[in-house]
Amino acid sequence: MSKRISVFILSSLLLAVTLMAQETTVKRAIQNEVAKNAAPSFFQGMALTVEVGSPLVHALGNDALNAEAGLRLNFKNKYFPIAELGFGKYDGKNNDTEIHYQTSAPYLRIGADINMLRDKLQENRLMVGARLGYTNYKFDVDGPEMKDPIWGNSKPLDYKDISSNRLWMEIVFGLESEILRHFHMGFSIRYRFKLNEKLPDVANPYYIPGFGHTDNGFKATYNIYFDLTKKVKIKNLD
Amino acid sequence: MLMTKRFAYIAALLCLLASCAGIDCPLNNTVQSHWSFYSQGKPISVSDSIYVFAKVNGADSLVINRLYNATDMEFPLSYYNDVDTFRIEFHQPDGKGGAIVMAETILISKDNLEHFNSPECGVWHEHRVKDLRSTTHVIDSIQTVRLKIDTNEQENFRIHFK
Repeated sequence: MSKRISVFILSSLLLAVTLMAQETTVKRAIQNEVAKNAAPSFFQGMALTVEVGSPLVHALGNDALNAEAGLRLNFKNKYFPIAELGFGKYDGKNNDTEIHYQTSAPYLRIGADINMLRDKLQENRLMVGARLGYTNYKFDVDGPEMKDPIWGNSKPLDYKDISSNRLWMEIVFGLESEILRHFHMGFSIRYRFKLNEKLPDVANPYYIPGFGHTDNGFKATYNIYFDLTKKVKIKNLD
Repeated sequence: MLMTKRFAYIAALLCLLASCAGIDCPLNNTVQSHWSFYSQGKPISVSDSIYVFAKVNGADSLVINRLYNATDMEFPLSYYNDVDTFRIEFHQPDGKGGAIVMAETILISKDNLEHFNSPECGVWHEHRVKDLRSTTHVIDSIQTVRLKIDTNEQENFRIHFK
């Protein structure tokens, strides 16, 4: 009798251990499945963006203005292809030389950012990316008469519709944070450098729409993003 | 929230960094022709006092005043004329502009190239030499080293003396 009781207890213990082991395995499998399914789906939506930094600085008296908007896609909250279309202009006169420079033209940038943060679902993003930009533009230069100091003859400084273009690359480092539901703000600092350009013989461009002053260098942008679709989609576990 | 604040601080710092930009004009903003003195194939210094005059509407206009013990000289060309005429006078080597020893006349034919750089730096008047002739009292020949006369301060001509 006692032997039967011992076998029963031992069998019960083995069964319990087996069941517990099975339960742990099932739990792990469920957890893995949940984790797998909880990862963001590939297409996470799209956003409209407007660059507000340049209009603000222009309103404070800067001679340059780049009015720019873009459409950005969101893949897995990690990859963000973007197209930025803008209209840049410069209209300024140097007080010392009295030389006036004027240009205005559209420009286009295409590229992508990558969210470098490990937690892709949080409200902040740390972006690293690149853009390829292009503009085809004309510029005017006018100023006081250019007098030869020795020979004495002079000629007006008046160049009209000088045609030029530039292809450039931008390396982007950006920070982005949600400020309201569906709205994000983003600062970025961009290193812009020339890839190719057509330079006129008679004059160097002074300001290039979408690029800025002609030398390679850093520029800052301040963008507002508006999500056109829901922020995050999680696949249904059913 | 703490993360957002950190983001804002970093963003402000980045903006400050990006705002540090400026336009620099080159130190040498003047276009001058550069001449070196040679004799028997070697660079020399000319002990005579040198005066250079540009012909402006038939009159002489001084562009170099009493250069002595010089190995080279530089002076501007006209902004708009197709041909410039210069007279180089060699005076006795007392450094004070003594009696004239000899004079040579140089004619330079050129294309004039205006080049707008920026509103801050203005317009440069560069030249491309097409032809150069001179009298040959003390000058043997003039060798053109670089046809383009611009702000690069490079040697354009070598005067080979007899």
